[in-house]
Amino acid sequence: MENNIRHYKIQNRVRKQIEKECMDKIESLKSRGDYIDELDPFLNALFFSIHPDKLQEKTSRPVVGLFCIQAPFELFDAFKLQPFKLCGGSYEAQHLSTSKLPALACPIIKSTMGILNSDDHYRNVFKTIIIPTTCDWVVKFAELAEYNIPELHFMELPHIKENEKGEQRWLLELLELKRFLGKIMGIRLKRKDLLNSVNRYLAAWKYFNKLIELRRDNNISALLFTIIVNAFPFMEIENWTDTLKAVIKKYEMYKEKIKHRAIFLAGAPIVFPNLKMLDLIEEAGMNVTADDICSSERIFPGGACYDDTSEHGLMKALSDRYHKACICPTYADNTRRVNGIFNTLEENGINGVVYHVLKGCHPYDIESISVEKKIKDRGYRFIKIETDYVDEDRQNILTRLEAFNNTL
Amino acid sequence: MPAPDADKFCIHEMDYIWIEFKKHVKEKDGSLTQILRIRKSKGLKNRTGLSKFYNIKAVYNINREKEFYRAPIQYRNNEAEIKITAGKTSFFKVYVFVITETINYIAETSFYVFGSSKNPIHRDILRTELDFLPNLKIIYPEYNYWPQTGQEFKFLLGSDKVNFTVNDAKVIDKGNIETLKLSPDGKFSYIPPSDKLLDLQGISAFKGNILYFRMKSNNKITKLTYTLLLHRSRFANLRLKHGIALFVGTIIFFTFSVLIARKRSPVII
Amino acid sequence: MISKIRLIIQNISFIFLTYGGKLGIHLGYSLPCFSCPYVGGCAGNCYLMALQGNYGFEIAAADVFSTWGERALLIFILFLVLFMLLSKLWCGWICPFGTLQDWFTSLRRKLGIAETEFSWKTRDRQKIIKYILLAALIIIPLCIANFGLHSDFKMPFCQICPAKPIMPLFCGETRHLSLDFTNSITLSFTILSMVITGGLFVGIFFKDRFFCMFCPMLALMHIFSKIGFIHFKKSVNTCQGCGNCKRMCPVDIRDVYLEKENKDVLTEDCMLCLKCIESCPGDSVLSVKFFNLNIFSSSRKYLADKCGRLHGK
Repeated sequence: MENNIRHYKIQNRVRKQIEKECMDKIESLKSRGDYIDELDPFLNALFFSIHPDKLQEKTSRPVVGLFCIQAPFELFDAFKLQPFKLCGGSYEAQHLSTSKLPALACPIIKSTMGILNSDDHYRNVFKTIIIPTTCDWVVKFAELAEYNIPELHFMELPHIKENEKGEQRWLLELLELKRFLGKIMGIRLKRKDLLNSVNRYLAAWKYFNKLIELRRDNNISALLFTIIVNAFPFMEIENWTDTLKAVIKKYEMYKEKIKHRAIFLAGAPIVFPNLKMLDLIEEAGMNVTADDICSSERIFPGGACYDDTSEHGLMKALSDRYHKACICPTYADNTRRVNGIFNTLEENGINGVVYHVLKGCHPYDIESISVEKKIKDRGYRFIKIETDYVDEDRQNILTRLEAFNNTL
Repeated sequence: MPAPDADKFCIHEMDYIWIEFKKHVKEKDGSLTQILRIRKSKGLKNRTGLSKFYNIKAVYNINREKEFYRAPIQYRNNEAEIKITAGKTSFFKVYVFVITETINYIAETSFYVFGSSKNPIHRDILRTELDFLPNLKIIYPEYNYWPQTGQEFKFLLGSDKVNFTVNDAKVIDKGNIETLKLSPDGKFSYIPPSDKLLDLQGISAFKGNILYFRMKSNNKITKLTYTLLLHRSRFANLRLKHGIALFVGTIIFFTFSVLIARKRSPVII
Repeated sequence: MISKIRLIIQNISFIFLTYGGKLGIHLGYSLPCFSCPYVGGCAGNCYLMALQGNYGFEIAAADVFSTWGERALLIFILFLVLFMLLSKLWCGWICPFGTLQDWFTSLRRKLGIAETEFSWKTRDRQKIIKYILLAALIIIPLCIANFGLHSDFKMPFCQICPAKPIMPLFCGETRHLSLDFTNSITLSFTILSMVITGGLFVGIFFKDRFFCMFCPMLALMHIFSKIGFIHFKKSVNTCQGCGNCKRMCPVDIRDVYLEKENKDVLTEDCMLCLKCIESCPGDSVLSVKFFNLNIFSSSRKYLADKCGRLHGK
């Protein structure tokens, strides 16, 4: 009984700290000189990233927990499900999970577990959790969080992309996911619904690319860009697209180049409210105008173009796009990942890459070795920053980034 | 390609000359030469020796024009040959004739030669008139890729210069003699029957059926033959219904096969 | 936009090559596409007919160094010139039989029927068939002209080509759907023709450009593809391997997707439909050039705008 009371007291305290952390960040973003009101819906959506129950109320759709970015958003939309991206960015939330995890755990996993533990009802909010077997932390999360594993849906991600076996296996996983979602929703997916969802996301991608073009021209700060992309999984797609259109219209009217030097950011996810790296990069006189981060420009792959409008054809388009186009370092044959970086650096005249690694994140850490070599061999500048959600290393990182800026 | 069973065209009791088609030769400069052989029926051979036929003459005209050209006759191994060369696509009508006191023996035929050369061909133009030649007009069937078995041919005999009476009109097809029918419009009608042997030989294979006409005018008899160059019928053996049935049947079979294969594996064949 | 332009050009070419002959137009015997000479209004002959016939390999050894041989050589040179100018664009943009296959594909898509997929192994095994057909259509005429093979084996590929029964239907000619009972050879060929055409009909419906995977004209073009003026290049250092090009390719070419070293990616099955370039989200990763003049390059903006227009359709 005493333990229970203590548990609820801690839970309440941490939940309030999480909310405060989130609200403080929202306020600091709103007080920026370059903030525009059209971004308000995105910030509102980010509030749901720590309140899955409120997300369900807002969207009136059943909520499904989702790790990573290999399961297609289009499929959830076709089933009228709302995915809840299980990528925590809250440092405060880690207080509710640290004791349950190894010492050098991935900060995102710590944060996610903390958020889910911040309210006992949160476990009942999710209809299910979809887990592509990307990295070890994601694979073992359910066990660590003491979920009933048979109720969850694992998708065995083929770690080789460039062969037929990988291609076919991921398609079979998607077909199985479709069958699973149909079973939990009690409906059969209609081809027209899937086609409409795919087209909605293609339309969203069209505007997303316009935003990226503005970003490449150094017209938008990385922090504000990150609000937009981080809000993506917590909004209905049409709502997100309409809000994005309004933002683009505003930016196009008042195109103002940011005076900070353009750089490329690669590496581990940066998740609201932990925008420390972006804050420090800005403070060091640089602006991220391009990145290949899965919580940012890669939040959804877009470009799932198709010519076969049958259900199978659409599933194949999604399967290909969410598998082959993903450059997560979890893949064994990810050597062409740097080509995307080179293309962007060359096309946009950027000559510096900041590689962000979260302590405890093995895939990005491992891949940083080969990426660094390839980028330096091509004559570009490269810096690797390893950090987590704590604030103690801010000054150290800032000094290093300032020095890096001077070398560009 | 020589017509098969040429000797079968020689009938004992009838005397006539006729033209037999031999091969055509591709010349180096692109022109094409058609080789023809002048044949005598056995009935004629029994009456006169070959030497009497040194006064045999051959002429031809090109593309239905009025001029006649001499066709030199070459004798080889007791055979009399004519060679007609064309540098470009041309229609030839060849006349071979022997004039005696009582009987004129005339052999005619006509054919296309598809030459392909820019070099001019020297031809020996004939300055004399050939009044004795009857005018044999051939009316070809409407769809005439080339003369084929199974198609109706009509023949009209006449002459601007001499009055003929036609006493006999026959067609000789490898030893089979058939009398030609005279249709109400005054033309002779002939439908060459299908020839199984010709069908087996290939699309370019041909045979020459002989049309024989015995005519009289002013106490002179003219025995005229026309060698009708025939190919096998291009359409007589086509069965559209069978083809469509097979086509549709194949579509049904393959459609089911594909659907079954797709059912077994939704992903791949 | 490229696909719209292609659709217009394909349809115009189809009408021109199928009915242009009725206006007296004839572009010769050297066309590098399936402009079927059996069609009453054909405006130019498919070169394969010349290749198998008197203006090609149905030539006696004695006639090779004569005007007949020269004529065959001239027609071949004209074929080569026409091919060099437009390369495989003849296949993807002009060939009437290709256009017909695309119409079947559109019908299948409208009906929402999934395309049949082949495994990589099956697809690789299919590639040899077009070379076998090309060899047959060279060897058989040589045997007819020099070794006494029966003349009913003439035009061996035309006799089994699916274009022969199908394309003349557009001019009302049904004759080529018949079985020919003249002799056993003609009967065998016409049976084979109907079975192949029926099978390919089904294949063409369920698979994009199914016949093109076996087309001997493509095999012939591939032999000379290096000398064409059209080049299809990949910037191998900037391709991230997303696989859009492979998925959108009607003939399932995976070489463009997998290629990491060689910049020239005009492979044997490619018909330069440019769908891969249209669907590539990398800027200037794939390009088609006329000599060094850029005709069309991949662009993220182009793809995004094109995809974005699908919403609401």
